Amino acid sequence: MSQAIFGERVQRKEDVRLVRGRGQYTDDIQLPGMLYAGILRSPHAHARIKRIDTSAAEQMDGVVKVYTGRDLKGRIGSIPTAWIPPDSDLKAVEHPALAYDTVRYVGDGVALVIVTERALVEDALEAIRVEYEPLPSVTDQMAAIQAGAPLLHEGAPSNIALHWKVGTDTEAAFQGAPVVVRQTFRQQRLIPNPMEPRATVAQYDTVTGELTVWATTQNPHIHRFLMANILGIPEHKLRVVAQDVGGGFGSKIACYPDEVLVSYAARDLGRPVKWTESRSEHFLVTTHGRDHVDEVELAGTQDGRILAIRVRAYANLGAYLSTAGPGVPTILFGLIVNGAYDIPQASSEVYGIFTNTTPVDAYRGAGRPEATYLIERIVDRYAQEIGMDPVEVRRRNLVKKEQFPFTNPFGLTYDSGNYHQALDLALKTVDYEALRREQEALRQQGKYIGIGLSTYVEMCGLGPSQVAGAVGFQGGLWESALVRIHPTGKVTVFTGASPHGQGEETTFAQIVAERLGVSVEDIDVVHGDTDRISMGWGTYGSRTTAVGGGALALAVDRVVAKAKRIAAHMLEVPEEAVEFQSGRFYPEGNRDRSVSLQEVTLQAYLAWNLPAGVEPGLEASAFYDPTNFTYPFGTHVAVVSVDADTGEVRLLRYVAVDDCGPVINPMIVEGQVHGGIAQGVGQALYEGARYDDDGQLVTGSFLDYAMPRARFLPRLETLNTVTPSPHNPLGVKGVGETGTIASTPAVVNAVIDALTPFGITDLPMPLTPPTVWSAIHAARQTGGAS
Amino acid sequence: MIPQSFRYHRAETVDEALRLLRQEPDAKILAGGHSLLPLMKLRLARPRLVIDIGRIAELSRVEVSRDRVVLGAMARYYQVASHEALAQVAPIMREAIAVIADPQVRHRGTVGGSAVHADPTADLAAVFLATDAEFVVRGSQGERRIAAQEWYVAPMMAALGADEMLCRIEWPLPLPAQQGYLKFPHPASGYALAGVAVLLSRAADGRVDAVHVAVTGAGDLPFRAESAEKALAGQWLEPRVIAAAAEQGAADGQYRDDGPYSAAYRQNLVRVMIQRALLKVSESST
Ligand SMILES: Cc1cc2nc3c(=O)[nH]c(=O)nc-3n(C[C@H](O)[C@H](O)[C@H](O)COP(=O)(O)OP(=O)(O)OC[C@H]3O[C@@H](n4cnc5c(N)ncnc54)[C@H](O)[C@@H]3O)c2cc1C
Repeated sequence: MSQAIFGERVQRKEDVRLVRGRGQYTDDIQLPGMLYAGILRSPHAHARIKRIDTSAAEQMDGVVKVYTGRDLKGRIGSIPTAWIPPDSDLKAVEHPALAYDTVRYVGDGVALVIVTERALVEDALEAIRVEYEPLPSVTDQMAAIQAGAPLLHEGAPSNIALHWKVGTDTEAAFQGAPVVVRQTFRQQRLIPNPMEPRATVAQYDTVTGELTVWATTQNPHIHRFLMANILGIPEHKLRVVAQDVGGGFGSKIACYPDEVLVSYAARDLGRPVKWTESRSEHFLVTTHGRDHVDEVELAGTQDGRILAIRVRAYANLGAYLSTAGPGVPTILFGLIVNGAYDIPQASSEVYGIFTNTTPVDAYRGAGRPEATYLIERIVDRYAQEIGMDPVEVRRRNLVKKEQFPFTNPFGLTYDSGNYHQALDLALKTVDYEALRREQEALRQQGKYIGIGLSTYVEMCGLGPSQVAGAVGFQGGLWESALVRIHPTGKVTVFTGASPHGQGEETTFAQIVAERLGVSVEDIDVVHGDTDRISMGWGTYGSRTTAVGGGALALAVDRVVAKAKRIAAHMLEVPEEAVEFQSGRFYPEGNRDRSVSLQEVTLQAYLAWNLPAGVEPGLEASAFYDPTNFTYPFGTHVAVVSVDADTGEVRLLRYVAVDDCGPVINPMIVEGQVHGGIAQGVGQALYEGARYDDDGQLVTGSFLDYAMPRARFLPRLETLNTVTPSPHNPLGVKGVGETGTIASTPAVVNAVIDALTPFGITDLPMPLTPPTVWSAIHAARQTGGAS
Repeated sequence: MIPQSFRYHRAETVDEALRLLRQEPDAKILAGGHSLLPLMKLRLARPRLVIDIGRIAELSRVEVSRDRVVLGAMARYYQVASHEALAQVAPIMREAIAVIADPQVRHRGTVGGSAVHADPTADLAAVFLATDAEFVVRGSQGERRIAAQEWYVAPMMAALGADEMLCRIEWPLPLPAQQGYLKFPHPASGYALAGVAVLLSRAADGRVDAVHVAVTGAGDLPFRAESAEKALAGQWLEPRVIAAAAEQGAADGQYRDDGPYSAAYRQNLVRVMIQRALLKVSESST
């Protein structure tokens, strides 16, 4: 890697169209004769459908068809989950595309209307009369497992969808421990809000029997695989296309009933059908994230050695199992609750619970933010308990550089790391000692600032397929790449990953440019179309660059190897004596003669004079299956002020030191970290879905659900250390989720640190002004700091 | 989201708009549309007729004379905020408008729309109360004036009849010269969780001569914090005096629990915001 293209702030190729409003999103598609779909959604959290009267709707001008759950029963298969954690006794309950008998959350689909004009959708939906028999409902997972709680699914007694245990025997460690800290953390339900809501357009070719589905998906091939089964369409007759997708954050992984319904209708009616989610609908039905109650226990010594950690998690899975729903609170969470620390004994026990709420699935970080939150918070609690600086406790327990590759108590092997270096850099950048002095001085004046750390590690770059199989993911996790050099030397790259805002059209071009000596402008990256890319697993779990980029590097190397053989023939030297540098092939040690990659490529296609045994053309593909996950890590430090009179928390500074291995494009890495931090801050301070006693979502719009705004954030100070992953071709680790994973506990730790004078040791997220104020108020009444 | 279908009519005169209002009971006046259209899209409002008053010239004027300010109901926020003569006599308008929503909303939204919509968290509600604004409405019986204190009758309900229109908002000059608006935005909506408008003038010896304190956002309705005004009358603005006045002024509101924001939190927030607004205004130059 000699050329300075890898590591440069190359401007994003995709922005040329995106910032000019020329992106092509699913909703932009217009097809001749296109119809529009709308889905009638249950207003009840739990009810029996007694009768549906569609006659008035059917008689309206412009209404082509109305389907109910009963119409579709047996014609559309149950919407499956794709993750069945082993030994979890998972109850794979039925999830009909439209409820035909019972609705189980507000938003559950009960009817589908197909109309000729977009403007008629709402009118047609309003004309449908549904008679419900309301049933008792439950939205809280702790209430749902109590005896006598309303039951969602017959096949899931006590509403328990799964019960899963993993780890070592921690009992002895706790028995003899000098210090035991216990805390229950509630990690509230979040509602992911990408800029673009979901949409689907489906078109059926009645002659060829081919169905094309344009959908807002992070993983078109997984969608094709699942939908072929659900709809009974031969996979080779089904094409799924993700055009520009305006963000997903995990919420566009799942295969939803909606795209299945639209596809069904398009085939049934022989006309193209479009469905676009409204933002209100998005709040109700697009998968939510987090929603854990975690009982955490930590055993340690008086001098700061952590001996064991034990976690019992109650994860709210919502009304049905979403595509990756069961995997998020188990595999992606339970295996890494020891965080970045060398803790001898650790165990996780997880209950996945059905409730009358929107299904829960991956949300940026997916499981790892939950794990990181509880370990980073309990470590702070422990530090407080033994009267030690939280930095010192971390120093004593972080896995040391010499210990890598490090196997944690759950059997994960952390690939590489230098945790202390990241910690030191972060502390130096904020000037930790000075901050502590300032904090003390301000306290004297009745002002409260707090400093919070998060020394995180996460597992991403999903992942080795063998492991995917072992942990019950019903798919592979390798990635594919095809590199095609055209006769003129221009390059098209096809990747099975499916970026939707992350910038891989640019970084992948950089990877190829670097290795081929071709300029970034001459390389196009194609993704998101099952007809153009043979197979792939999509973009999530910070896997695109580590796995998709790895495949790409291998494919490029294969192309170069072939070109080398042709070049050797052209230069009339043995193949081993050819050197390739900056796009030219030279005889070894001789810079006087050379042929360019373009010249070689042209010869490869003309094929007038190829070496014996070499086929014409110049392209190569690779299917890369990593041998391990990657483990990015770092230290984030948040500095906050708390207004004791209003309870308002302000972020004064935020320093993020992240290590994602070699950085391909610093600008894009910073962008990922910035956005991630904003979302993590959102959870810490602002966001939180709330249901009322009847199971109605009361935070169903931006008027009530507080997304983080630019004005809530200080200038983010982002730094990197570079510790390559030893096992993938580029040495890169993912960086798509680190910001979200690290920032939530850093911010909460900072707020709790600020509140130390009041004797406050924990508060439930989000730390809104009333939450903080009430705690301070209560402390003052009982004689805390004034 | 698409509204239920409706008829649209652009009125050329106030009289024409009033006639249409009388003829069609399910009619709605359209000003800037930034409150009405979102409600229609959510189908929470379903007018059969929308009467656009955007082209009625008389409704868009902003006039500042020696003894009076006149704001046409259709005057847009940005237009009001950029009016120099107004900024001389009522700088609080510019200050309050600056914290309403975003530039798009400020270029469409109107002072009259805000008044009639009567959202109890609207920023201008506090300003209208603090300046003792008068709302001039017109109906079949001709014009009548409604004092700000009588205007906000219930959440989302102003004191004008279904067949009446707001034509202009006026207030007498001079206003107390030291003015300020302080807002604690709701983290989600950006509307005021508490907004406090203060107008203040002081006698030569520094004692309070006149003080108006009005609060929006936190209570069931926007209100004048009269107890705070009483507590401050004739006093020097010492921190202790301000703190006591804020405490009493906050108690003038009616609060209720709403989601995470309890009544106790709201009242406390009003107390703190009155205190801070008073401090800020008392330190400002005239
Ligand atoms: C994203 C967003 C953020 C916002 N944030 C804030 C904020 O922070 N603070 C704030 O105060 N406001 C905020 N608003 C509301 C904004 O100020 C509205 O524009 C304003 O409340 C209504 O003014 P309008 O001209 O748009 O009225 P419209 O929407 O046109 O009308 C509102 C109502 O008043 C009636 N009406 C209007 N004019 C008359 C008249 N002359 N006579 C009789 N009836 C009339 C209409 O029929 C309708 O019922 C926000 C709005 C949006 C969309």
